Parts: sequence; C-alpha cells; structure tokens
Amino acid sequence: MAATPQTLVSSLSSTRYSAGKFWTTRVGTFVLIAAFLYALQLFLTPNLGIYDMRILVNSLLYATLAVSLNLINGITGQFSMGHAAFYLSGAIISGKISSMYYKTAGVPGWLWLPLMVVVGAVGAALIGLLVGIPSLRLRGDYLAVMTMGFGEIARVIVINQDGGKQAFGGLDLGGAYGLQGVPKLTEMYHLLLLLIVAIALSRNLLKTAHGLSFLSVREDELAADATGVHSTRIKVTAFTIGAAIAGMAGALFAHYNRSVSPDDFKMDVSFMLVAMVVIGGTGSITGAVISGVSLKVLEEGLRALPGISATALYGFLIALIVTVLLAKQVFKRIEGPARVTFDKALIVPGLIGLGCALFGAYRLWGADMSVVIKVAFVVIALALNVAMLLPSSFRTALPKFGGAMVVLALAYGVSFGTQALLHKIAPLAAVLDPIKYQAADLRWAIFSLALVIVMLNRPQGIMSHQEFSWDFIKGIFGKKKAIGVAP
Amino acid sequence: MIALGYTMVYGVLRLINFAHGDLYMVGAYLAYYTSMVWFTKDSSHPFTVWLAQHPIVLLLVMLVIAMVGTAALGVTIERLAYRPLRKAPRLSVLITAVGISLFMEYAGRLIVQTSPQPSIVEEINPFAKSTVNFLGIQATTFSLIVMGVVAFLMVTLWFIVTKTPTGRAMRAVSHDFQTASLMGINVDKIIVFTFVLGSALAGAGGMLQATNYGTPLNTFFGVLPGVKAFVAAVLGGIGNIPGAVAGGLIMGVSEYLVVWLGYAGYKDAVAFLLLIIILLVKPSGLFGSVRDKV
Amino acid sequence: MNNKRKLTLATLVALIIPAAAILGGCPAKTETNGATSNSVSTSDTFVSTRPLPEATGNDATGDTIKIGMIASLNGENQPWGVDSKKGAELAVEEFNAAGGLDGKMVTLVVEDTQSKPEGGKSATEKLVGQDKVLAVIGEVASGITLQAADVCQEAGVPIVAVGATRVDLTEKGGHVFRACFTDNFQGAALAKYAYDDLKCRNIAVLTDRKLPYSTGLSEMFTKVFVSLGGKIATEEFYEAGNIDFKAQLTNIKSKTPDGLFCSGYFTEVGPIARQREQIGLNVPMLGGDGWDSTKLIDSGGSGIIGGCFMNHYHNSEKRPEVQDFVAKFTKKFGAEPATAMGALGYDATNVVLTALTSSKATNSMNLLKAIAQVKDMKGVSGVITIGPDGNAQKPALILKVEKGGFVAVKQVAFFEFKE
Repeated sequence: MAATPQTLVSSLSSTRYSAGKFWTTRVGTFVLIAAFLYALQLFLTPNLGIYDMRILVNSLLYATLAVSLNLINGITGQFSMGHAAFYLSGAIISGKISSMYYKTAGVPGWLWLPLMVVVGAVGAALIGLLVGIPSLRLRGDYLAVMTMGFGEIARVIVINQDGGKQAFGGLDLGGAYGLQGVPKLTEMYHLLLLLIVAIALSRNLLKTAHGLSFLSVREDELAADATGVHSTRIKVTAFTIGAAIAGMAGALFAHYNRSVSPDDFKMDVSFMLVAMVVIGGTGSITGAVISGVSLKVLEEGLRALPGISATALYGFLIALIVTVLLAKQVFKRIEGPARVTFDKALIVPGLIGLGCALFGAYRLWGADMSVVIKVAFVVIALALNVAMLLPSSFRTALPKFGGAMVVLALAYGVSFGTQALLHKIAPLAAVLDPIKYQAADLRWAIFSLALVIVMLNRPQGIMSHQEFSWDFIKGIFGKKKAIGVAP
Repeated sequence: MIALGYTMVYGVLRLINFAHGDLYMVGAYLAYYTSMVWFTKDSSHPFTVWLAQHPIVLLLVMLVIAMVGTAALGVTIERLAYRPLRKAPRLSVLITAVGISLFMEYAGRLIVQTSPQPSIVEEINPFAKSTVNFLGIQATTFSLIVMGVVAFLMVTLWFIVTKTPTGRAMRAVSHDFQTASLMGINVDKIIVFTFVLGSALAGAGGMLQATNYGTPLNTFFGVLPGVKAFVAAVLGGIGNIPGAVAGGLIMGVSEYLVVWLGYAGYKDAVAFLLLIIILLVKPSGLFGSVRDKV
Repeated sequence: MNNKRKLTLATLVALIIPAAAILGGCPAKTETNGATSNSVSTSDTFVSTRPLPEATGNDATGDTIKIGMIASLNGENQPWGVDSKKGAELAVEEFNAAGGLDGKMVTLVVEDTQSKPEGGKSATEKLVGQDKVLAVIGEVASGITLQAADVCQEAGVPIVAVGATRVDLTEKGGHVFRACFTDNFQGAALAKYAYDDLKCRNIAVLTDRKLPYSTGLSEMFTKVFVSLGGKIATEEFYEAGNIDFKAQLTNIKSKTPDGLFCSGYFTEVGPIARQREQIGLNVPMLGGDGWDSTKLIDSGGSGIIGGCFMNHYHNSEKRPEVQDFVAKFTKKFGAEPATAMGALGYDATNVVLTALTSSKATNSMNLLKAIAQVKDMKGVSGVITIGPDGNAQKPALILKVEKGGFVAVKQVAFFEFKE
C-alpha cells in the first residue's frame, strides 16, 4: 500500500503555477472536450443500436462509479462497501422529483437534467455526510461492515416506500415494483461528461496539496494527524465527494433507464464496485476506469458464449488441472542455462498466442455481436500485444504467456482423452451426457473465476498505484531504450 | 451458529470470508443428499424402517457428513485462493473471497440442477414438530436440541481457543502472525485448523437450518445468512466466542421486536441499524474483541 | 486552510460552468415518450384501445424468423425462468417440425435476465436491438416484464408475458400481452373463494415485500375481500430469502384470524407452513400461483397439507392438450414440468406462433396486430383469447394440497372484477 516517493515527488513537482499557461490549457481542454462530445453526439450516437448504447452507458456509469469509489476506497483508504446506497439515493431522489414535476414544470429538458443531477448529487452527498460522520470513529473492517449495513438499510427503506401503511408519511417510491415514469433525458455524452468531470476532480485532487493529505490518511492516519492533517475532515470530504459523484451517476441512470427498481441496487452492486477499484489498482484512477469499463463489457460479452456439453466441460477442466499441475513441476525443474534456452523457446508460442488473439479479434469483427463489445475485444487484443511486445516486459512476460499458451494447447489436446474417459465410466456418463450447459449457465461462473484469477495473479491490481499519463508512457519507452542498449 | 464459524476464521485471519455463507449452503446440500440416499430408495427395506424409528441416527450422520464435507471444502478454498495471497493487500484477498463466493454460487448451480428446488422432507426430522414445555415456554424439541448443540459447540470452542496449546497458537497468529511464526508456530497449519473449525460450523449450521424449516435449497441460499452471521460476529466482538452467540441472539430478538412493533418490512434493515448503533457506541463490539482495538 | 478551500471551490465552479454550457449547447432531442401519447394507429383496420408504439418495428430478414425470449435463468426466479424457457423451446421445436412458416424456420433466442430488472432491460435491448427479433416472449416476473415492455415500446416489438400477473402491466401500451391471468382476476377469485367456500371472515395476509408480484396480489386480494364484507386481521411482511418467519406468524396468531393468505413464492411459503404448524397457528392457508411447484409438499411438510392456491392449469388435468403437453415435455426434458411456467411459456410462444401463421407477418408491428386478434387458441392452460386489454381470457383452477400431490377442487371461469 506504500506510495513510492517518486509518485509523491512527481505529483508535487508539477504544481509550479503560471497564470497564463494555466488558463490557456484549461480553456483549451474544455473546448476540446466540448468539441469531442459534440462530434460524438453528432456522428456516433445515431449509428448505435439500443443494445450497443446500453453497454456503453453501463460501462460509462460503472467507470464513473468506480472512480468515485476510488476516491473513498483507493485514495483515502476508507473501506466502503455501501456505494450502491449513494447511487440508489441519487437515482431515486432525482427520479422521484422528475416523475412528479417534469411534465408540469415546463422547464426544457436540457436544463432540467443538470438540475436533477445537482439534486441527486446534493441528496447523495447529504447521505454521504451522514455515513461519513460516524465513520470517523471506525476503521478498517468495522467501517466496511457499517457501510455495507448502510447500503442494505437504504435499499430496504426504499423497498418499503410504496405509499402503503409501512411507508414513512405515505411516501410512494414505487416499492419493489420500482419508480416509474421518469422522463428519458440522458444522452450518452452526459455520461461521458460526468466521467470526465469525475476523473478531472480526482486527478486534480491528487495533484494538489489536498491530495497529499488524502493519501497521507490512507498511508497512516496517526502520522497524518501528527503532521497537522485534519484526518477526520479529510475522510468526511472524501465520503461526501464520492457520494455526490455516485449520486450524479444515479440521477443520470434514472433518466436513462426511465425507472428505478431497488432490486438493481443490491449488495452485489457494491461488491462489484469494490472489485472494480481493487482490480484496477487501489488509488489508480486509470485502473478504476479500465476495470469499470472492461468488467461491464465482459459481463455482457459473455452472453455470446456458445453452449457446451457437460462432458466436454468437465473433460476440459480435468485436463486443464492435470496439465497445469504437471507443467508447474516441469517448469520448476528446469534451471540454469537450460532455463534461458527454454524461456527463449517459449517466446515462440507466446508470439503465436498473440497472433491468435489478433486473429480472434479479426474473426470476431465479422460476428453478429454488439459493436461496442467487438471494439472492446479488439482493443483488449491490441493492448495485450502492445503490452507483451514492449521490450521492458519482453523478457519475462512473453515466455510466461508462451508457457500459458503451451499449457492451454496441451490441455485442449488432453481433454479429448479425458472426455473419452468420462464416457467410459458408465454411471458418470449417464448423468453427464444429457446435460448441456447454455451460455447463461456459464456466464457468471466464468466471470467470477476471471475475478479470482486476476486477483491471484495481480493482487495489487492491474495498474497498482500508477496512473496513465504521458510520463507513464515515457517511462515505458524510456525503459525500452535502456534495455535495448543493455547487452 | 454460523456467526461462531465466522468469528473463528475472521478473528484469526482478519479476513472477511465471503465464502462462508456458501459453505453454509454446501452443508445444507450435503445434508439433503445424505437424506436422499436413505429416504428415496426403498421404504420397506429393514434398514430404512429401523432408521425411521431412530431418526436421531440419520440426523447425526447428516450432521457429520455436512461438517466433514464443508471442512474439506473450506481447507481447499484456503489452500487454493487465500494462501497465495497471504502477503497481498487485504482488499485483494477480500475481492478474491467475493469471487470465490460468486463462483461457488454459479458453478455450484451447474453441478446441482436446482430446478425444482429441493428441500429436506419433514419426516427426517420429527423433532421439529414435537413440542415440549420447557420452563413454561412452549418450544419445539428441535429448537432445544439446536440450543444444546450450540451451547456444546460454544463451550468446546471456547475450551480449544483458551485452554489448549493450539488455541494459544491461534490467538498468537491472530495477534500478529509474523511474530507468531518467529516464535516457532506453524502459521499455515494453524490457519488450516481454523478453517476446518470455521467451515465445519458453517456446514452444521446449514444442515440444522435446512432440516428445521425445510427451506428450499438453491445455491444462493447462503448469501443472506452469511452476511447476517458476519454482522452478528462483529456485534459480539470479533474473535469473542460467547460474544458471537450473544450477537446472534440479540439480532434475532431485535428482528422479532421490529416485527412485533408492526414494521416487518424493515426487518432486514434493523440488524444493520443495530450494528451501526453498537459500533458507534462501542466500536469493538458488544463484548469486546479478544484483541485490543485495532 | 481557507486558501485551499477556495481553490477546490474554484475548480468545482470552473468545471461546472462549462459543463452547463455544453449541456445547453448540444442539440437537445425532442421528447418522444410513447407512454404519454394517446394516438391510435389509424392506418390499419385494426384499432387498439391502448396506445400503440410509434415505431416501424423490426423486420425479419433471411430464411429464419427470430423470436426472442427473456427468462430468469439465474437468481431468485430461476425455477420459473428455466421452466418457461423449456416450454418455449418445446413450442418452437414443434412448430419447426411441422414445417415452420411456409418453410421458414423460427429460431428462439433466449437471454438471461438474472432475475434483475436492469438485467431484463439489457437482455431485451440485446434481443430487440441486436438480434432484431419479431416478438419477445417473457418474463415470469412482473417487475422485469415492465422494464422489458419499455424497451419493446420504443422498438415497436410485441411482448407476450409468460407469468407476469401484475395488473397495470398491460396498461403500458398496446404491445404488451400475456398468456397468464392477472392479479385482478386471481386476487378477486381467491378472495371470493376465501369468503364463499372457505367461509373466512377475518383473514391475515403475509406479503413478500421484495416481489412486486406479491405486493400487487395482496393489494388486490385485500381490496376484494373487504368489498365482500370480510375483514383483514393484519398484514405482515417478509423478504424473499428470509428463513425464519416465526416473528410474523406469532404476531398473526395474536390477532386470531381464521385464514392465512400468503401471496409469496413457494420458496418461502413452504417454510412458512412448517413454522405455522410449529407455533400452532391452525388456520387454512391460501395463496396465488407463486405456490406452484412440485416441491411445495417437501418444503411445506405437513403444515402445507390442506392449503389451497390458484393455478393456471394442473399436470394431472384430463384435457387432451394438457396430457399431450406433459407427455412431450417429459419426453424432451426427462421430467414433468415442475411449475406452471412450463405450460405458460409453451402457451405464450404458441400465441406468437399462431399470430405468425395467421398473418404471415415479417414485420413486428404487423405481428403485434395479429397477436391482439388471437382468438380461441387451444392452449395447455385453457382456451386463450387475447382480450382488448391484452390479457388472456381463460379459466383458472383452485388446487388443494394433499399428501400425494395437488388436487383440483374448483374451476373458476373468467370474469372481470368491477368495484
């Protein structure tokens, strides 16, 4: 969890202030962003089907939520597991007001939506404050349980507000049926804008002295207090800002989805958000965005899985386990000079694997699938290639990847044998043969397995504490040169 | 009951084991399959008849199988998923736990075809129906048996943790496992032992619950009890064995009270509300954690 | 500290002002919210009393006709979702085996909703937007069907609900139909049965807070039962997934009712029945079609024996359609349908297929109009006529739980409840 001295220094060194330059870059950025969004709205949106749109909107929403949770969990180190509550409150408050007054208010949609976003933000921020204030007393896991509790309480309260006997003051939020009749105002660019705002906010926070105090609370609260950081205030601020952004996301969601059902804000949403933050690397804004988008796309993309018979599935699993265990033993035994040749030899399957990834992406391009998912898979395949072929990681990553490819290929080969074996065992075959798993059965099993595998291989998350920036790219290419020169 | 198991694993490892609720689910399933092996075959077989007359034997067998099975599974999970992450950040372990929990729910569904959802038939457990008068309170025999079992387990656990060398080692590991390993304690072994105990308790809990109420089983059946058990464990003070039992009782009573007051819709929220209040007033849990406050 | 705060504030303001400017500057789309418009399609001979979607709809291309289905294949509603999917698959298989539509085969695209409203929405959007289906069949749950109906409305695709009984569903628009009865009918019929046949006068209601289905049914039941002159002793609540109901039941017991109406699903009704017996609340139990499962007797034990519930049909009915269906289902899937959703999935699909045959439509809007005119279709759950409100008009059964299985005690003819 330690922030390296470099990150701290680098975040400090870029704070030299020059008014002229500051404002030109600022205004320039805004103009660019506006132009970009306008172009998107003009050219991309009309060409997207509703399903592509949904995936895009969902990924953007979850990226935003992950960034906002990152502010609490990653940057300030306050372990919150109830982020869905802020999301829900933003959605339900703004949705309720919209469904009641939008038609009669006569306010045009483009003005009404930002208004509602602010309402959602304020509502969620107040609730964030409510959670944040008691959080000063608690740390670590106790805080986690408490926020989880808040998440559940928020959901249960909403479920009970159906205008009936048990509702507070006969309040009607639709109960379990969900709040209906919210006007559809949200466009894709609103979400993108919110994401940019959220990223800019957290990034600017990190670049200023403020951000350092947030980080110091994460690293060591006691030391932070000792050096004059008001840790309590920092924590409450983090909760409030994070909640406010989540509330805005909620408001946008309500006005996109046109209804708000409490069932969509269950505990697993909070868990998924925490997973996004952790997988992306706690404290890394880039990581949060990447994992937010990719987890959502993966979730939808797995719908396209083909069905598979139970025998084939278990045959493959058995083969995979056997080969992995054997390969581990073999790889362990090879040492010394043989290791170097071996690693070099593994580069070949590594390259083949990368080629396969590219080819797969190319093949996928022709498939009958959502454009967004296709693009995402192509990007992943390309990113895999770039990351593997960058010389800084060339020596270690490619052989490892090659090893994995060899194991996979072997397992595939062996799986025919194990399948035949499964067929031989009469009682097992009788049970397994009629079962054929559909994509829907496998989707979540694979999804959760992917989660575990990522965590086991990269416990610090994909990006760990790093951020994507020009410096980051320069760092990679700089290293490339250094390694290229070295004998 | 599950709170006990939770407090064990959590207290020692400082890990919120999300898969705990799923072990509870597995325990219930194991009990169900065990009961099916005997009960669906042939009801005129002399052994089945004998078993029907001595239901306690079958119940015990079910309990043992559920406990052994979940213990084995718990250890496997620890070995495969948690041990490689021993030195990783705590959050990563937590996400792995969530992943494992999801995996058990969804992959388990592939193995047990849950449509229609089975439930353990009532004949298995005649004690759930017979009532006795206990200190003037009408209660089912089974609830008394459960109480007895819980009390017994509580005392046993308390004994193991406080009086035996293994227990001392467990407490040491929970305090600081690096120092503990310097002191010559085999940390891995202790953690495995903790998992065995904790998982077996979860399995037993699942079995007792399923036989008592006949709740239809599906693979998601452990989620809510798992979370509530965690709350109960925190309520009573992490790592504090009588505390966990008391936490569970307090939660049960408070939920009952809310329903009695006519706000049944808020029943699930109340457990958490109570938790928040208690944490605010006394952050280390009602009865204090065995360790100092962290 | 003060300076810093100003800085943050300045950043915030700097961010918000251009944001607002952009929001204002972009072309704001005009609202086309179909739910609020009341225009009726006049271009056709067909006139719907409900607002029709204003969209061109999907067209079938190629040699296959795609029909979509959304089902809860994961999550809480899984037992019903899986059954509905099996039923639909069976219907499509038969249709294709009989030659399809003039040689064109029908493919059924099934998507999982995970028993979540948002999952239902994205699944429907995939079917409608990606696969360009002509019609959507499904969901078993009302809350999810409502979400799917929103999507279908925008795209101009008809949706035939399998088991969504909530009343206000078909008020959404002219594109929503259903193969099942509504809570309006179910609640009223059950209330009448409780009042007239069971002679209950003071009944307790136990509702699942989490299920729109349960809250809707309880509401309707209460309304009709009170209008008949009965009294509601008390209404208690729980949430799906709960295990212990003793607190609610004790409360109910203290009010000494003469009946217990449970509008939830069998997953909770079973344990409720056992616990009812354990605490000695000896009153007859009554419920809706959520009770329907072959496993209810296992989970309910002796506590459920004697309970009555309403259902769409029953596997043991002597009608040839039922016998035929159960035999085919058992042959294909190895077991009898565990819930009525198997038959309803089959019926819902057949409603769509019947309309397809009669209209030979290759456009979803045309198919929609054909579905609205389906009449006297011999379904497994009875002879189905789609009424002007989009609901299937057909009789229902009241079943009694006995030791060996369910026994039909009364057939309730279709009627409309008027206050």
